[in-house]
Amino acid sequence: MWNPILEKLGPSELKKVQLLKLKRILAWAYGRSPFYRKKFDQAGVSVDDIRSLDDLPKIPLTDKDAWLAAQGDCGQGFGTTTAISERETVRYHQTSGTTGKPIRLAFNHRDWNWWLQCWGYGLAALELSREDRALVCFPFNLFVGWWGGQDAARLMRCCVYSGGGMPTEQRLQVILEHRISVLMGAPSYLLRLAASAQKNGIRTSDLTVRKLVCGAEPGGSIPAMRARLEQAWGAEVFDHLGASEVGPWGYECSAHPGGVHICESFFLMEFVHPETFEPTRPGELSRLVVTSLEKYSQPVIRWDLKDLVRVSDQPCPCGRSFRWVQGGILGRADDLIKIRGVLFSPRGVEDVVRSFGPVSDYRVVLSRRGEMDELTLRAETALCGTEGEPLKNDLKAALKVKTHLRFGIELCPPGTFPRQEIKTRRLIDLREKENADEQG
Amino acid sequence: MSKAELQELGRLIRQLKQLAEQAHQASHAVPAAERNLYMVLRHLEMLEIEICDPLSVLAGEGGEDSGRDAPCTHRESNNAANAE
Repeated sequence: MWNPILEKLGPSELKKVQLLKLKRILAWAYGRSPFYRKKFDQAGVSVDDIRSLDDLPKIPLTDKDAWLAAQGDCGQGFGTTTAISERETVRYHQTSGTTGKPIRLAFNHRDWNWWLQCWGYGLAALELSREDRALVCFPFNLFVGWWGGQDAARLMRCCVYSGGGMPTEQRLQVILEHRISVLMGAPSYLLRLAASAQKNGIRTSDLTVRKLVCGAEPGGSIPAMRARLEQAWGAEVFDHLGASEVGPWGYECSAHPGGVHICESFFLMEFVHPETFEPTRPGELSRLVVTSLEKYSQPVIRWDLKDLVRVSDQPCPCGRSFRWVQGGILGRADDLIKIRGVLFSPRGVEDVVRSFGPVSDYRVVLSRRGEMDELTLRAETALCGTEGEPLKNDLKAALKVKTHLRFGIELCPPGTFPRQEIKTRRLIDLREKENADEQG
Repeated sequence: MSKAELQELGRLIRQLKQLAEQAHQASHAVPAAERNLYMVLRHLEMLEIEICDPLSVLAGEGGEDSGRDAPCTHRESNNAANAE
């Protein structure tokens, strides 16, 4: 364990630690961040009103849109979201901007050290040691993932290789030549890396990779994706959860309880109903609201992460008392779409498609015919013509069972879809465009 | 680790932090010392949040006072604000 003092704390002691940290960060945010001062004042809440963790819902929620608005008119700066002076900022990162404009992220030295501590919990949980050689395959750019993985692996004192900004073939060469034992990357990319090895005549069973750290996108906890990764690499899969605005908040231990531990000494989690925001009970599908307890540069207080989870009340065999979320991230509250009266989440499609070996990638196209919404799965595969017919039928049947919806299936040749290293948007919603075309 | 050993660890960390702060204050004319001591202090803060905070709770201090000041960044930010 990274810190058995904290990771084995009983629930009441953990709550005391969380309350201590919560009071500090609230006072700091109110005193230093115009964004939070305004938010508290508008809600008529003072820091002194928060006497216990149960008082937390008195503070209004915050989300990405609120930060974007606060950063909207400030040139290249951070708007009112920061609680430090610009001269204290030593690291600049930004979110991927998958769903819109990127959010700008500021770190001082202290917060970057803290960020690495969060990673430390995860890397210790997968038992990363000084004997390991880790290759970090996240993209080398303003996305925080590569930097965190790289620096945290160094903190663990293992030998770390930068795989950022490196073509896939070169990464394979490094894995082969340097006997890499741990890979960090987005799950869909790690799958592609294995496929590329095969294409280049490299047998992954001959390689020394024994652990995969999956981050930057969902997948590491999706059973079919995990099975494919384990099979492709002959390695153990560890999901690693986080958000660039919030921090690396979740990690999987080597006991693999079927989910991901929450780093509860650093993150205060609220589990609420996806629509009503009322508190939920363990095991219920919940929306995640996060407060980062040690993030001082750009405080994150009651952040509506929009991720859907089910928190377990079962102990983990690893002995950690930090709670865990069953099956990692189960979907996104803003990805839930009602189609023909049925609630649809793209995660269900991922789970089905990844269990079909011949499918290398896919897109789900949502369109409208008349008044009816239609779903089409475009699956990339080497099978074509009559050879692909059984696959089409099997995909259709499996998707119907999983999602209760009827899909049209189109097979496309390999290489049809552009490759991105992280956060590929696989749901294409053409309905708004079609509506606009009709009106235009 | 026994409770006494943990408390001793916490005590040593606080002592180390005080020494590092004194050394940092004395180092301003030597950038090589000042910059490195600054980084040492940032690392010691991590020991405070990882070790001293939970120990203070376990010692029954109720979490109200972990035996440490507000995060260094407070002072740093005050200094920066004063300098501007």
